[in-house]
Amino acid sequence: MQRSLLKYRVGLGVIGLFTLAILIIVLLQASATKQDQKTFNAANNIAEQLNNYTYNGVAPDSLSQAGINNVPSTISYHKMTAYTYYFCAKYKLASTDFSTSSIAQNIVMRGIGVSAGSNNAPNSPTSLPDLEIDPTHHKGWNCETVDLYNYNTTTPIYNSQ
Amino acid sequence: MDNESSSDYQEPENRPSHFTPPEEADTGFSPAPPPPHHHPHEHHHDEHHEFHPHPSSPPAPPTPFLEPLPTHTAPSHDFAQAPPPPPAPAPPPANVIPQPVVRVLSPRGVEYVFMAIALVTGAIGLVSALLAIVNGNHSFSVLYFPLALLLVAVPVFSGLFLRLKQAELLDPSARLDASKRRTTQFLQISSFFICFFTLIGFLATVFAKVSGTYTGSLVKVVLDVLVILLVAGGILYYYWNDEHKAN
Repeated sequence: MQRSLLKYRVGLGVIGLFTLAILIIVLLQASATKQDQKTFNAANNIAEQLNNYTYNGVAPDSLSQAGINNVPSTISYHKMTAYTYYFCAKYKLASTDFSTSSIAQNIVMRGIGVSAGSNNAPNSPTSLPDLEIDPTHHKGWNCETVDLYNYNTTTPIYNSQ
Repeated sequence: MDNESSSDYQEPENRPSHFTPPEEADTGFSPAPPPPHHHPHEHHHDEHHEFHPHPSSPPAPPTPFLEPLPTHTAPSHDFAQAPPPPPAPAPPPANVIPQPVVRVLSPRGVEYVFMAIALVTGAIGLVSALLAIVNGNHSFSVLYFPLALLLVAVPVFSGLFLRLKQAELLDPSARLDASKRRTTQFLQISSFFICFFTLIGFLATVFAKVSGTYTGSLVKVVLDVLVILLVAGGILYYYWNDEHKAN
């Protein structure tokens, strides 16, 4: 009887090993993900305070001048002119909007005859010269330039490793 | 004359046509129908043997349907045409307490339902993790939920599956357990549905790619379809074989 159960034990063991490998991958990324989440939260807080300060129409010389202290090393600020500044945040991992459920769902739904809606609407350019932290980011430094008086400017993301 | 005919024989309107009054059934003799003293306008009613009182006479109260008494043993002409009554159920023994019949799973059937839940959950986790890997995306945010599914579902499924498989090897009649078959047939139908529409979806994607309306990578779609077919098709293949072996 043990022999007839052996093949099932082997198959379940393979799935168990696969689960273990996924566990290791996830655990290895856990600390980096936590660090990136801290960076993102800090960048959001700083952006809010910075936007409050630049409401006066000038960019601060430094973050401390805007009353922002305890800035993590993964965030940098550089004043370019009196009205423009450069803000960067460094992430250890790239973010993703990948969804496994949507992939499987799209294939099966296409089989049923329901077309999956595509979200290809272009992003409208921001009309406000505010610093906005994008949750989608690359690995490494992600920077954007803010021009306080250029209302038509977009907020490009630069990636410098 | 109409009043006379109505007093001779009155058949209630809600009585079935095959019914014979008890006094007639007792004798086994049906009296001759009353003579045709009818108004010319009621001629068509005679053909159907229906009673229609005279408009001037008061309407007769409806008579409730009377079941034949159980003592009526002599068959009449009408009863001979009716289907035989069902046999009376035998009285239960004095020591047997009647119990209401409730549809429940067998004890093994409950375990099969648990196993099916773990199997479906684990299959979703496995497919999600494999899809993430074949699409080159193995970041924490993508893998943590499939991992949680696998970490719970795989041990639970393994334990239940091996336990039930062992029980089936010891007692082959357990393979024909109705509760088990209901669960495994649900799994077969579900996995067949997924495989079936995945294949259709794959062909639809290929056609969309040929026509240029789909701009994604066809290789990734092939890999995605293979992953889904591997897991759902594996479940279908196993339980299909298992059920047909049992039969």
